[in-house]
Amino acid sequence: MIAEPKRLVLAEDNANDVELTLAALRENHVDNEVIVVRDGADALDYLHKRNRHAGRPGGNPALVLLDLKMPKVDGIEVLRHVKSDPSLRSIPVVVLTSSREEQDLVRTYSLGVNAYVVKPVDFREFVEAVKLLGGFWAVVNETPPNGVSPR
Amino acid sequence: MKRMPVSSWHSLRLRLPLLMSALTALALTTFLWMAYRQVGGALGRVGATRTQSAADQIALMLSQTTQQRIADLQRAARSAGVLGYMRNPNDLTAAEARQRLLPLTIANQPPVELWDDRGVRLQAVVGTATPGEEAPQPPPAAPPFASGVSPFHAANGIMFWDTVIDVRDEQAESPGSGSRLGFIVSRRTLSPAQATEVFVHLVGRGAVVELGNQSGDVWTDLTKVVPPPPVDVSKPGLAEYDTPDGERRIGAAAIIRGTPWSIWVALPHATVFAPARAFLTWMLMVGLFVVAAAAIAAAVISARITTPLHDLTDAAEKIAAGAPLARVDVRRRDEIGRLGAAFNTMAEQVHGVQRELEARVEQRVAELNAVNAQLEKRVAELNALSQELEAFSYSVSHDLRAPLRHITGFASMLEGSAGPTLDDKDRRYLNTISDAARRMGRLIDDLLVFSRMGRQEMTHGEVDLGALVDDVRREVGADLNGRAVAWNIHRLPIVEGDASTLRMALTNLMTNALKYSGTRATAEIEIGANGGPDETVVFVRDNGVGFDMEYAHKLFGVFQRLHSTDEFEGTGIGLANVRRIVHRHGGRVWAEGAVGQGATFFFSLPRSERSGDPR
Repeated sequence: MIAEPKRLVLAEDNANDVELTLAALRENHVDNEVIVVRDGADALDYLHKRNRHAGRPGGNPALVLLDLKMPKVDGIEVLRHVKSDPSLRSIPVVVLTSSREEQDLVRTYSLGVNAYVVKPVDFREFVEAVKLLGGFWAVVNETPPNGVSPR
Repeated sequence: MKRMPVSSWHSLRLRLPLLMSALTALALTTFLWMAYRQVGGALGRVGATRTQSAADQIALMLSQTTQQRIADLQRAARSAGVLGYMRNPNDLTAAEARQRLLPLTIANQPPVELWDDRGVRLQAVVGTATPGEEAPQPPPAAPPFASGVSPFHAANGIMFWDTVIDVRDEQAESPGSGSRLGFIVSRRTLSPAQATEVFVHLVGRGAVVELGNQSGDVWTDLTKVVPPPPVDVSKPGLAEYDTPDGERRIGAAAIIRGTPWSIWVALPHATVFAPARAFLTWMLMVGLFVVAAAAIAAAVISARITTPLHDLTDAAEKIAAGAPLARVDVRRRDEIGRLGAAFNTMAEQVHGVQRELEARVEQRVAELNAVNAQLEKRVAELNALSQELEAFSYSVSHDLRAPLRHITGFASMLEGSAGPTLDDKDRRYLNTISDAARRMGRLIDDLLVFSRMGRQEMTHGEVDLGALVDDVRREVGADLNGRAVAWNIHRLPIVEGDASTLRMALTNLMTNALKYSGTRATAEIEIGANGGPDETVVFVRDNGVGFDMEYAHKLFGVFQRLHSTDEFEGTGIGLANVRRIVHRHGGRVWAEGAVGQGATFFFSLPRSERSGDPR
């Protein structure tokens, strides 16, 4: 379990944003495997090993990077699901979003989000933001064993 | 409306008859009292006259009777028979004398006697005795004798008196001159039955008649011996007195001439005033009848007045309680009839006005309902619009920024991957692309802030402008990069408003002042407040580049700028925000300035009761 490589999940519907985020992670030398899911339903399938992800290896990912505006099931729904499921609750969730909308901030924090990052227009600032987050959650932190709540 | 019933005590229906009865009774009582007094006085005088008159008459009658007897006896004393016998007593003269005296005797009375001067009884002529009427006899007469009528004497319950006549030896030509030979003595008892009958006839029943000696020693009421009257009976006169058993009497005394006697006639007050009592009783009955009649009449009259008044009151109360129309049925020609007619007219007018008012109110309500429905529709529309706006700005903030991010992101990656092959011109193009995208991002951000400013909830409270300005000055003065700024901040009042938006407005104005005075060696910024009773006017003045007053109206428009971004950076949304904030506080914004001579920005805030004086 300790030797297991830590995986990140990136939930993002926009291909450009996926590419930019991956580039920002690369630039910050985050070498973890990144699983990209295209919408909220896909993200939940991955987390529960269903459908497309039925045969995926490993346990819970080390971190979920979550966009709020997604087709089918939006980020808020995914966050609520993760934080209300005892087996998923320990996964850190970072919301990546385009705008600092007051209503989104309030709702995500009340649902138990671990961090909230506004994607700046300027790419360099974005790289800096990802550097802080990605480094912190994916590399330094040890996540508790699967299915055990940290609290 | 609460109905106020008239208590029976306060009702005219009771009070008027009572008043009438009381007045009638008072008048009658006064009249009766005075009449009774008058009648009583008259009766008293009549009683006194009656007793005196009766006493005088009885006295006269007794006096005449007595004188008659004396005259009869005197004639006998001078008669030849009696004188002959007295001068020369023998059987023959004795018979003659007896013949002469016999007519003077009275049946069932003591005898008429002849006595000589030495006190020897010579003869006793006895009268005829009626069988069955024999009266008890007084003791026999005895000397000495005094000529005339004697006082009454009483013995064994029998009252009697003597009439004594001198028998003198005289010649016919000189009467009374001769020597006394003896006496004729006639003793008599009082015969009550006869006298009483006579007196009752004279005085009337209920009267007291008493006879007795003037000396007051022997008195009788003609049936028995009684105590004398408690007055001086030796002279005539009236007197009132109380008997030992409490009866008040009015009495009169009269002297019986030719005798030592007096007569006393008295009437009890009760007898005298009996007619007055009867009169009073009768008048009282009449008076009660009159009072009752007056009460009934007053009751009828007051009912005639109060019944229509009750009807009027009931009708008025019905109207007051909200009845649509109430009328009274008063068909009379007097004042009450007029009142009823006037009331009916008034009630109809009130009813008319009421209906008119109701119609108007209904119309107004209908109009208001229509306006209300319109307003509700407008509110719903506005709410829908507001929600659409909210969704729009949410969408803008997410979706408009994403392409910008992609532009800068891929431009940056292009620069990274193709870096070594790019010349300076290529790099400048790439930088321009990124700069334009970043500037677009700022514009979007500012526009969103401005959009939210119009919808943000405002809390109202007291805001200390002085403290707020100090706070903002510390904040905006933090990155001055060593610029010289002379702040001149006057005392500022406490105003009514929303602290966070006012802070934003002041931040905008003070940032602008700093920005546009950036070319001066020393920036001078003055902040103060003044204003009238209705509003507080705050101004922020700088000595910066100023502006042309010709374009002053464009200062507060969205994205309106009087300077190029090359001279002073900014999006042109700040003053628009200030205007929106001040407008939402109910105030105004304006500016004064001249090119190169600085600018002054003003905003006003309406004064409310809670805003105080500068601290």
